[in-house]
Parts: sequence; C-alpha cells; structure tokens
Amino acid sequence: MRQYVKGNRDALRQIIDRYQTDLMRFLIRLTGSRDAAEDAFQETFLQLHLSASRFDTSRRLRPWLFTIAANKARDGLRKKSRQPLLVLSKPVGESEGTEMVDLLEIDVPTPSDGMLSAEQQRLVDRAVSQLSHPLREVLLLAYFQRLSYAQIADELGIPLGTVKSRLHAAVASFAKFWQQVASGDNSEDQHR
Amino acid sequence: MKESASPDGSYPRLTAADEHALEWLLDHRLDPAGTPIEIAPRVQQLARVLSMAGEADVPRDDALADAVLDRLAVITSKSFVLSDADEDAVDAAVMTGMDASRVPSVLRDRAKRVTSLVALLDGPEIGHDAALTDRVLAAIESTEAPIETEKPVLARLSGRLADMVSIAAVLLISASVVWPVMSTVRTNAMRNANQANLAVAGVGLGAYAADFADHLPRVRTPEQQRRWWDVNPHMPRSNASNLFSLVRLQYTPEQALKSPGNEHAPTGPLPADAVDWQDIRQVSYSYLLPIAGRNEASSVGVVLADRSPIMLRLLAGEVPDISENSPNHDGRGQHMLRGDGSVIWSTEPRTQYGDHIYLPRSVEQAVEFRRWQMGMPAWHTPELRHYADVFLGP
Repeated sequence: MRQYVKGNRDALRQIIDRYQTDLMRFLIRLTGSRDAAEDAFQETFLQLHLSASRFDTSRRLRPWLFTIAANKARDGLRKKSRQPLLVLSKPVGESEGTEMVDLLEIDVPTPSDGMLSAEQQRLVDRAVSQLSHPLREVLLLAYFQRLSYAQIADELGIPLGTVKSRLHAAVASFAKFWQQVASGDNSEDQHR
Repeated sequence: MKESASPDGSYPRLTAADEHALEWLLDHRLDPAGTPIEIAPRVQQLARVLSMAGEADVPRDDALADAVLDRLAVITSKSFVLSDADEDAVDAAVMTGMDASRVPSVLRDRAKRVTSLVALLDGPEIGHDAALTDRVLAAIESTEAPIETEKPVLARLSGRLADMVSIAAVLLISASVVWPVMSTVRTNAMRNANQANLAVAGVGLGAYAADFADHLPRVRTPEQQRRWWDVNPHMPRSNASNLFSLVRLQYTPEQALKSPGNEHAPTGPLPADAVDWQDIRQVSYSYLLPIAGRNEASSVGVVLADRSPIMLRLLAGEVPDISENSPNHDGRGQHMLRGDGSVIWSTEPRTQYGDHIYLPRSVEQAVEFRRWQMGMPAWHTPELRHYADVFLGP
C-alpha cells in the first residue's frame, strides 16, 4: 500500500491479486451471488484507490479492506432492494417467539470430513441466505477475519454489545437454519 | 439526528437520545400520541421515518431508517437464541480467534461445535481470476480521481548546494526517526500482548464463574484479606492470590497473567505448589478487590487491568500520582477487562463513569475534598454514585 501511495501503479495489481480469492469468498457469502460480489469487490478497490493517500500505513490493510467490502456489499444490497425482509404491516409486539438453540444438538460435519460436497455447499448457501444482513455481516467478519468483538465494533462503528448480541443471534440462527435445510425442512424459510 | 457515519459508510447507529426516543415509540406501539414533551420532536421524526417518509418535507435519512428497521426486524420476527453456555462458547471462540483448542476445557466441546459450524462458511475454493483484476484496474483507470501520490524526494531536488544540505538534513532526520519507529513497533507489540492476556484471563474468569454460580475467584474472605497487598507465595492472602487461583485451577495458563511490560514477571514456570506470586513486583495485572462482600462484576464494570502504579509507589515509600497510568505500558495507558469480556484501552486510569480504577471511592472523595479546600479545580468529572465502585489491586 505504501508503494501504491508513492506512485507505483503495479502495487495496486499486486494488492488486488493478493486479496482476490479471500475477499471474493467473503463477498459471495455476504451477498449470495457472484455478480453482486464482483460489484462490491470493484467498489472496494475503487474506494481503496480514492482513500489510499489517507490510509494509515501503520494499520493492517486486510481488516480495513474487509470492512470496506462489507460496507460496499451493504450499499449494493440497499440499492437493489430496501430491506425487503421486514413486513411493516405486521403489528409490533406480535413476535413469533423465541426459540432456544442448543449447539450440541445440531448435527454439523466436522472439518475432518474434508471439503463439503456440492450439495452441502448448496445447503450452506440456503442457510446463509436466511440470515438477515446485519447478522450475516457480523458472523462473516468474525469468522473470515478472526476479529475480536472490540475490533468488529470499531470497524463497523456499532456498540460492542450490539456486535456481541448479533453474533450470538447469528450463530443461533445459522445453526437452526442449517439444521432445517440439512434435514430438508423448509418450513422456516420465511424467517429471517 | 444520527451519529455521524464514517466516510466509508460504516454501519449507522442512533444517538443515545434517538435510542431513547425509539424505545419509547416501540413501547407505545408506534403511536406518538402522548409523547413526553422533551422527546416529542425526536419521536415525531421517528414516526414519520417509520411511515416511510411519504411526506415530501421529511428529508430522507437512510441511517436512521436502517437502524429502526433493524430493530423492528428483530422484534417482529421469530428469533433464535443460544443457551448461556453456548453464548459463552461463542465468546470464547471469538476471543481465541476461532481456535477451540485454546478454549478452557469446560467450554471446549461447545466451542468446537461453534467452530465446526462456522467452518461451513468457508465455501468452495475460488480460483484466481486475472480477468477480474483487469476489470477492477480498468474501472479505476476510468475514474477521474487520480490518487494523490507522493513525489519522489530525489526528483524534487536539484544539484544545488541548498539541496545537498536538505539531503543531509533528511538523512539526519531519518536516523532520528528510525528509533521512534522501532519503539512504536515494540510498544504496539506489547500492547497487543497485554490485550490478548486480558482476553484470555477473561475467558478463564468466565469459565470459573460458570462453574461457581457466577462468582469471581476468591480464595479468602475479605476479612481474611485485610493485608490484600501482601503477596506471599505460601500464603493466599493478597488479592493477587485470588486471581492466581485461575492458574492453580487451570482455568487460565500462567503465561496469560505475565505481562511483557513487567520486567519482574517470572520468565520460567512457577513452583507447582505456589498459591501466589513470589512478591508484589511479579504481579502483572490488578484485579477487582472484594469490597463490602461484592463478588460479582457488572457487564460494563472493570474486573481486571494492567497493574496498578499506586500500590507500587506506596510500597516503595513514594507519593503516588493519582493520574499515573500503569507501568505495564510505560505510563501511556492501560487495558481494562470488563465484565462482558471486552478489553478496552484507556489513556487514563478511569472508567467511562469517571471512577478511578486503582483507588477506592473513599480515597477519591478525600482527594477531591482536599483539592476543593486548596481551591484547585475538580480532578475529574463527578463519579456516578449509583455505579458500584471499581477498585483494583494486587
């Protein structure tokens, strides 16, 4: 990054190449589609280009890049459809209830099982797609970036307690949705 | 109405006043009638945003609308929650960078389940796509905003004597800059290590509390710990021995309680039968003292922090400076572990509520009274009395 700010144009290509696969995997999970991920990817590096001279080179580039990417993905989703998940006509207070999830009761393939099959990948896609964007964002940042609660809060500009409660909800929801799609139960598909 | 979002569009959030207004509106089923006058304008604005700004005179406020909709989505849809044990396991997994093997044994099985679950997110391998890089570079090229580059130093210099003097000056300055840069790297490394230590200790404290009915580790009663500063490896009477029990009971690795900023911290393993550190200088972190029988920490209360400079000064026969920061960071500041497991950095030895973490409230009040008597300005903003006093010591 320092090289790019100094005027070395090739440095940007090296940065894009270095982070391409990790960032695209993160964005495809976050947006749910390769096209939207590519748009966000492009917007991310455009933002990096525009902000390069202001970047504090003592900071790590990777978390900064992933945070920009998460913001760009969110902007893209916002443009595409404005929070379609919420039914405003539903009276406030008529919650459908809260269900406790016990992770020890969720059947999850262990890492030793190796790469997931294409069918399993499709099921994971479906489970992830049922998460609301804020939950998906925190879950993916925590996983792909291994960021602490404080770092996620700092990067996203939201209170630490919100990060924590969102991650708890994200893990619970993802576990439940995974269980449902893996067992072929689609009845909860509408819940997000 | 909203807090300023960062230029890169980080996630919007409401101000405390807007949060309060939103809570009121939600409690009253989105009906702004009867709103208390002091929050009426905010509630009216929220209600109009919620009705999706059909009126032309309401400016579009994406951040506010997002925050409101996010909150509504939570309360109007079915939600799934984790058990307390699973929440602790998620916290522990996050703190250890998703490495379940580093999670205390009591939570390890659940943490493994967490990491296996989130590992599903990995997705298939994505091959490198050179065409994508080309497309991104082309898009950047087509923008009309060139990056502000730094001009090479040598290009700005001609062969004039004045420039030669400049080059010499630059070289001299560079030499003087190298050391501070190295020093900064060392400082940051030390700060990161201390932050990680407190996070690991936080996991240990959480696991201990889970096993002992939400109580923090206490090996002796407050009465038995009247000499709470008296560190003795064979007699668990100091406050440090309370924290040390995390090591004895294997909730926390001893390395996590040794700060790299403490030159007296033992480098080798501790004796197997030790119940406390060898002496007070070995204590790297200061722990919440059991005041008036209190043995629990609030979620925002500070439980543990870099070691106190106050007791070290007193025991050395010196007059303590109440504004002094922990010696673990050469007086720059200190990390504080809060009851919710988060670790924060502060350049003052005070909590967000103005509470001095290394002094009991009675001493703080005495200091303020003395300053008032001497006509000096108040040392800090008045501490909020309804918060339990935080007092950390060795």
